[in-house]
Amino acid sequence: MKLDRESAGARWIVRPDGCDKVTGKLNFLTDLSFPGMVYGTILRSPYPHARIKAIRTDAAARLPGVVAVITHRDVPGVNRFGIMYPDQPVLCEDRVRFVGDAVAAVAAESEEAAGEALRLIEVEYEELPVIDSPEAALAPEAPRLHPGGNVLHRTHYERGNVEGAFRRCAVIVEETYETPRQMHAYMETEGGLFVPGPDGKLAVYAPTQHGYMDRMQLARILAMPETDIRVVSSPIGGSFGGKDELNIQPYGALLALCCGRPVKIHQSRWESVRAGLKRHPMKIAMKTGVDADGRLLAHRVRILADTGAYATLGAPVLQFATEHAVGPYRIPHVDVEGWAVYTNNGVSGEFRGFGGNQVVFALEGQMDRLAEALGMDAWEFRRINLRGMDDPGPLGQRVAPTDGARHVWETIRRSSLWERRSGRTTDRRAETRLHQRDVSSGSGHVDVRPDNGGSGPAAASFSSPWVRRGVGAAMVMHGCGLGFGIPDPAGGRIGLSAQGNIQVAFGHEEFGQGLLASLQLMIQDLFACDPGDIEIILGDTDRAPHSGSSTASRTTSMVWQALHRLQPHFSRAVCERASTMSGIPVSHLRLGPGGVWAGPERVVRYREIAEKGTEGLQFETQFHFPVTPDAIMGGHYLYTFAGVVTEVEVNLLTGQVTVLGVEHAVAAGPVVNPMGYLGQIEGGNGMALGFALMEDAVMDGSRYVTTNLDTYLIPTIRDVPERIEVYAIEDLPPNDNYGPRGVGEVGSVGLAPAIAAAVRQATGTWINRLPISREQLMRPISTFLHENAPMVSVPDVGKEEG
Amino acid sequence: MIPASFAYERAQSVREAVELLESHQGEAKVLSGGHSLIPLLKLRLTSPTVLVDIGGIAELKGISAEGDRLVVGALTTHAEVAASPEVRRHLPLLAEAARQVGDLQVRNRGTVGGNIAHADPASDLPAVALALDAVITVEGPAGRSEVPVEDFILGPLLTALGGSDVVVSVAFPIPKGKWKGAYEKYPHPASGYAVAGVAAVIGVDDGGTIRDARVGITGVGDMPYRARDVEAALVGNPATEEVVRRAAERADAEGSFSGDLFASEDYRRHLSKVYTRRALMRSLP
Repeated sequence: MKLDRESAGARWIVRPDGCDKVTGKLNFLTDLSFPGMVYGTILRSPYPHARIKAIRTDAAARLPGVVAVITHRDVPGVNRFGIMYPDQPVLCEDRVRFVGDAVAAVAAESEEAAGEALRLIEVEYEELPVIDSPEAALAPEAPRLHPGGNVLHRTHYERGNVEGAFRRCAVIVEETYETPRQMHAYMETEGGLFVPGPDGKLAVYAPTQHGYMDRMQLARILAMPETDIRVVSSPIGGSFGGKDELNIQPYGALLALCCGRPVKIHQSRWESVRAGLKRHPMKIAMKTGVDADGRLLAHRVRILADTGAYATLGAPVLQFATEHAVGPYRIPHVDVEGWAVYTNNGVSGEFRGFGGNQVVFALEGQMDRLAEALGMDAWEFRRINLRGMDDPGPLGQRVAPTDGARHVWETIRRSSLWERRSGRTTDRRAETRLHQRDVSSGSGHVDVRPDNGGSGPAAASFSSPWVRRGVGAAMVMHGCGLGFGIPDPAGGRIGLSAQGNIQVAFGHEEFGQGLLASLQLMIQDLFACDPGDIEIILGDTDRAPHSGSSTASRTTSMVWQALHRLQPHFSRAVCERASTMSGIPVSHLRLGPGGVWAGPERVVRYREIAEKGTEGLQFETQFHFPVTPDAIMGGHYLYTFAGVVTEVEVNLLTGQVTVLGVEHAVAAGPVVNPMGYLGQIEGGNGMALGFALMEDAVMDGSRYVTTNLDTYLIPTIRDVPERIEVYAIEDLPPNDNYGPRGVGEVGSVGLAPAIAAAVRQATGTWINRLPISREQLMRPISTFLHENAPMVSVPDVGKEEG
Repeated sequence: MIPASFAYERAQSVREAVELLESHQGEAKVLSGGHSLIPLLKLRLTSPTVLVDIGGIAELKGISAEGDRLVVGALTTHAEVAASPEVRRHLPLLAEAARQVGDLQVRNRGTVGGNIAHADPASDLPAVALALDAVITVEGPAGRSEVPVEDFILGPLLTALGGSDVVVSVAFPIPKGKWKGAYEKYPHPASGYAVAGVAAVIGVDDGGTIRDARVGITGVGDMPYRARDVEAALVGNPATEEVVRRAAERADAEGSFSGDLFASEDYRRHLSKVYTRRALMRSLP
C-alpha cells in the first residue's frame, strides 16, 4: 500500500499536539519556569584528557547572585552515571576524559551571574596524552582511559568455517568502510527544570526516553529513595536516542537540592555539541565470498567502534552492529568480531538505528560489489541469497517467522525507480567511458560490466555531460526491542477518569514521533470511542506506570500489546457498570462514542458512570518485550524490513550529489497511524541523507571542529528529494499476534547504501566512506573537453519580494 | 551572544559622519545595514566604543547613470541593486550577483557600501567590482577621493579605508562595445557566502575575436582577485568554447587559496576553474 493521504482515508489525522506545536503554544519541558527559579550552568573540561590538580570555587561562590557552586565533593551518592555501565563521572574528581566532561556546576539568580561564576572557578589541569582514535587506544603503549583498559566491549559471533569456505569461493570482495560521527541535532537542546519540594522530594522536568531509568540513576547519584523523585519526561523537542542517557539532569538535581530552590538549565548549542552523544564512528572491514552461482558462502566482519570517553550504551550498540552485519541473507559461514574502544573523542552512544546504519552501509556495499563482480543484477543477487520465512535470525537464534524480507524485495523490484537503473549504463557510451577510466585509475577493484537490464525507459536527457544519474537500492533488516539479555519491560494502565474519560497512562514519551496520535487511533479502534473521550498521560513517573524505554522501535508495539491485553478487562468492567445503571444485559452492551451503547442507542454516558465512582475501573498490565528463547546475547526476536531505492544526480565538476527521488518499502506489520508512519520514514530518510552526504562532527585532536550548525551541516528542505514514496507492507504471517512494529529507526538505515550504489552507477566510483566526499567524485574539467555540450543554466535564486 | 556596550550616534550628513569618526579617533565604527558589523559585534570580534549610524543620510542612497558608469550609493541595498532597471539594463551581471548575496534578509537590509567596506573574502560584490574596474568614492577629513577597487581591498576584512573615512558610492564602469557578462557562484549551504564566485566579462569585436576579458574571483582564499592569466589567454583569441575551456584552467594561477572544513584548498582551486568556465561560457556572444 502506498502510504499517502488518499490511501489513509479517515485514518489521516492531525496529531493531537500538532496545532500547539506549529503555533508555538506547546510548552516543552525546557520552556517551563517556576517562581523563585535560579539558573544552572555547567563547567566543562577544556581539555580532551587531563589530570585535575585542584578545583577552587571560593571566588565563584562569593560572586553576588550565586546561590550554589558544586563539585564532586557535593555528590551525596554514587558519582557516576551510565545506563549500562555507570562509568561517567557526574562531576570529575581527578581526571577529565573529553572536552565535555563536567567539573563543576553553578546556580545563580541570573544567567549572566552563572556564566560569570563559571569563569571564576579555577581548575588546575595537567594535560595528558590524548587518544584521538580507536587505533591509538589499542596501541600497546597507549595510556589506559579506564581501570579495565581501553576496550569497553568485544563481541564475537561465529558459525561454520569461514576460512575453509573462502577457499571454495569463486568471487571474494574485501573492503573497509568508514562512517561519520553523526550528531542528533535535535531542535531542543538538553535542558530542564528541577523543583525541590518542602517534603524533601524532588520533581524533575527534563527530556529523556525512559523516565524510570532517569529516576533510578538520579536516586543512585542523590542517595535518595526513587519514590522521592518524580520525573516528568514528556513532551520533548526531538531526541533520536540522544536524550536517553542522563545529560543535564544530575546537575539540575544536585543544584536544586543544594540551594533548595527551583533550578533551570538549558544548554546552548555548543554545550550540546561538546557534551552530547554522537553516533559511533565505525571502521568496518568485510570480506565476503560467493560461489560461482552467486550464493553467499562466507562473510568475515571486523568492526572497530569509537565509543568515546564513557560507556553509556556503547556495548549494546556494538552488539546490535554485530548482529546486523549479517543482515537478511543466508550465509552459512560467518565470523563477526567487534570492539568498542574508549578514546578521548566525546561520547558515542544511542542514535536512531543503533549501530545498524553503519554496518548496513558496509554490508549492502558488499552485496553491490559482489553482484557487479559476478555480472549479476544487484537486486537479483540479493534475491537468491535472501532469508526465508522460517529461517533463524542473523545470529542463528529462533525468531518470529517473517517473510518481510521477501515482501520488500518484491516491492522494490517492481518499483519504477528501480526500472530506471537498467535504462541507464547500457545506452550511454559516455558513462561507460568514464567507468573504464575510473577502473584503470584504480578507484574500484572489481571489474565493471554493464548491467544485464535491457533498454528500459530512456535515460533522462541531460543538459551537460558532467551531470550523471544513477539508481541504487539497499535492503535493511532491523531488530525491534533491546534483544536477548537486556531487561525489556513493558506495561501500561487504562481506566475511567473521574471526569469520565478513557484514560491511558504509559511511561513513554512523545518526542515528535507521533505517539499521541498512534495511541488515539489505537484507542478509537479498540473502543470505537470519540477522540474527545480519550485522555493520554505520558512520561511522568508519578502518574504513569513503568513501560520500559521509548527506544529500539518498541513503543508502538508495546502500547499496542498493552492495550490489547487491557481492552477486554476494561470494556467488560465498564459495560457491567452500564448494565447495572441501565438494566440492559452486559451481552447487549458495547463501548462507543461518548459512552456505552446498546444497538443504535447510547444508553449511559462515560461521565455518568464516572459520577457513580471509578473504583474497580482501573487496569494495569506488566509484561516483557517478546524475546528469542535462545540465549544469544543481543539477539532479537522481532524484525522489521525495508528496501530503499533512490535515483541520484552527480555533478562531476563539483562532485555534488543530489538525491532526486526515493522509494521506501517497509514491512513492519499493520499501519496504526499513517501520517506518523510516513513521518518516521520521511524523517529517517532525511537523517540518512545527512549521514550519507554531509554530516560529520569532525574532531581534531579530540576537539570538535564543528561547534555549531553553521559548520555541522544537516539537510534542509533544499536537500530533501521532492519525491519520497513510502510503501507499507502490512502482511504478517498467520499466528503472528505481535501487531504493529515500530518504524522509528528502520527508515533511517537503508538510504546511505542505496545512494552509494546509485553514485557508483552514475560515476563509476565506489563509495566506502561516509559522508560521500565531493572531492572524491569531482573530475578535472579536461575530462569533458571533448564533449560537445550545451551550457549549464543559471540558477535562479528567486525574487526579493519574499 | 551579546555585544559589548557601545555609544550610538546618528549622522545627518556624510560630513557629520566623518567629523564624528574623527572625534572618536579610531574608536568608532560606521553602521549602515549592519549585516556584517552586528555579527562581528555579537561574536565580540570587534568592540568599538561608538557606532556612527549613517543609515539616515539620503545622499548615500540610490543608483544613477553618470556618463559611462553606474554610480551606486553606499546605502543602496542588494535587493535594490538586483531590482534596479538601470542595473539590469546596463550591468546585468551586477544584478545577478546582488540577487545571490546572502539570504533574503541580508539582501533587503545589507548595503553595497557596507559590503565593499567590510571586504569579506567570500563576499560576492567584490568579484563583480574587480571585473568591472569599479571605483570607490571615499569621503574623509581631507575631502573626497576615488580609489580603484583593486587598491581598496587589501586583505581579509582589510581595506584602504582610513579610520575617519566613509564610503560614499561605488561606481561601476559600463564596458564599451559589444560585451556580455555573468556571475556564477557555489554558495556555502549555511551562510550563502561564496565558496567560489566568479564574475566574468567578455567583449568581442565585429570579427568575433575577444578584445576585452575580465575575470574577478571571490571566496576561494584571503581576498578576491583578478584572474589576469585567464584574461590573457582569452584576449586576441576567437570567442569560442574551446578557448574558454583552456583559459579557465588558469583560474587558480593567481590568488591565494585556502581551505576550511567545508571545502579544502584543492577543492576551491578546482571550483575556481569550474566556475570561471561557467561564467565565461555564459559571457560568450
